Amino acid sequence: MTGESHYSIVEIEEQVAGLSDADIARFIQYFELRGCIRRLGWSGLEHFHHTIADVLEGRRAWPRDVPRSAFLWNAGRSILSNEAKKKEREVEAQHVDVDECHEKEALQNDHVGSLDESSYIANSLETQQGQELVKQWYSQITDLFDDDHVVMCIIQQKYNELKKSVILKVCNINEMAYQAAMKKMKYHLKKAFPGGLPWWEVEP
Amino acid sequence: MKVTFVKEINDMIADTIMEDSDDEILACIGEVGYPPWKIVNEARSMMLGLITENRVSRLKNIKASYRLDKENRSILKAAKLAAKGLDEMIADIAKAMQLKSDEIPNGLIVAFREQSKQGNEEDVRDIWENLVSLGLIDIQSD
Repeated sequence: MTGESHYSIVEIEEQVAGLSDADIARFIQYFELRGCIRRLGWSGLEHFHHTIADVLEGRRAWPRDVPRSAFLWNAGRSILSNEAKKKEREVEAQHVDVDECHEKEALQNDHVGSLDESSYIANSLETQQGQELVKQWYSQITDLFDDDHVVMCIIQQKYNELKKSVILKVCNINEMAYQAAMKKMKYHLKKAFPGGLPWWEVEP
Repeated sequence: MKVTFVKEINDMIADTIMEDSDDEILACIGEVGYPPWKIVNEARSMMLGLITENRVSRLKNIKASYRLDKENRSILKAAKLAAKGLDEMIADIAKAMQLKSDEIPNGLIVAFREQSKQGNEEDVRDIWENLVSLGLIDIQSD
């Protein structure tokens, strides 16, 4: 789709060529934080390469009113999400194959339960380690804000997975105070965890 | 397991990168969590390489399409030339002389008058082709 409302392929090339060093660094850092290395096995640079190649193919319609960075970030997010799903499906398919193979083997050896038990123990160990890691992060995060009861309250409620509307009531704050607290949190969290929190390491 | 909480905190950290100004980002390049200049430069070269590849490939396609179009035209032209009989060519030339006499070179008019009297098909065809190449006979409109 081109013409008045969308960029032509020549214009897309011009837009991409106009990316600044800051845009490139921001893109790479953002997607490394979003876990492209662990989730796809791609470095931030590789993810940038895949995204630019995809955009230059011109299959994604780029409306003229969408700024360059927003369009590229959305393309990057969509590629990350699609590729991660593809990988998950591949892993699941492999597991099914391996499980079927082990099941046959177990039936032949007449001890069906042994495999289930060992994989259960492995999973619960992983879960325990994940829980420990989350607790450790939570403690590091709360240490950053132990002098600010509003931020502490927000963090505690977020940990309890409460919605924003409920957090406002529980912490007895208005929207403005919430936004100010969030701004402070972002600033200190970024300083304390410049490489982000690798949540994919604790996902069960 | 509080993965949702960890995800949210991570998203907040990622969001700050989007909110940082260009100057802030440039000042942090090479620091913990930020890519080094080597990677940024590599990304830029790779990006410009992809754009160049894209342009070269597009130009190749345009050239190939132009060549194909040209070949099709010359095939069409050859077919039309072969299909023209002597009377048709004489009629085309006479029409061109009538309508575009000012544009036809004098030598061609004289030659045509002589050749048409003799009825030499090859010479008439030469004159007809000359007028086609001068754009005074339009074979596309036939």
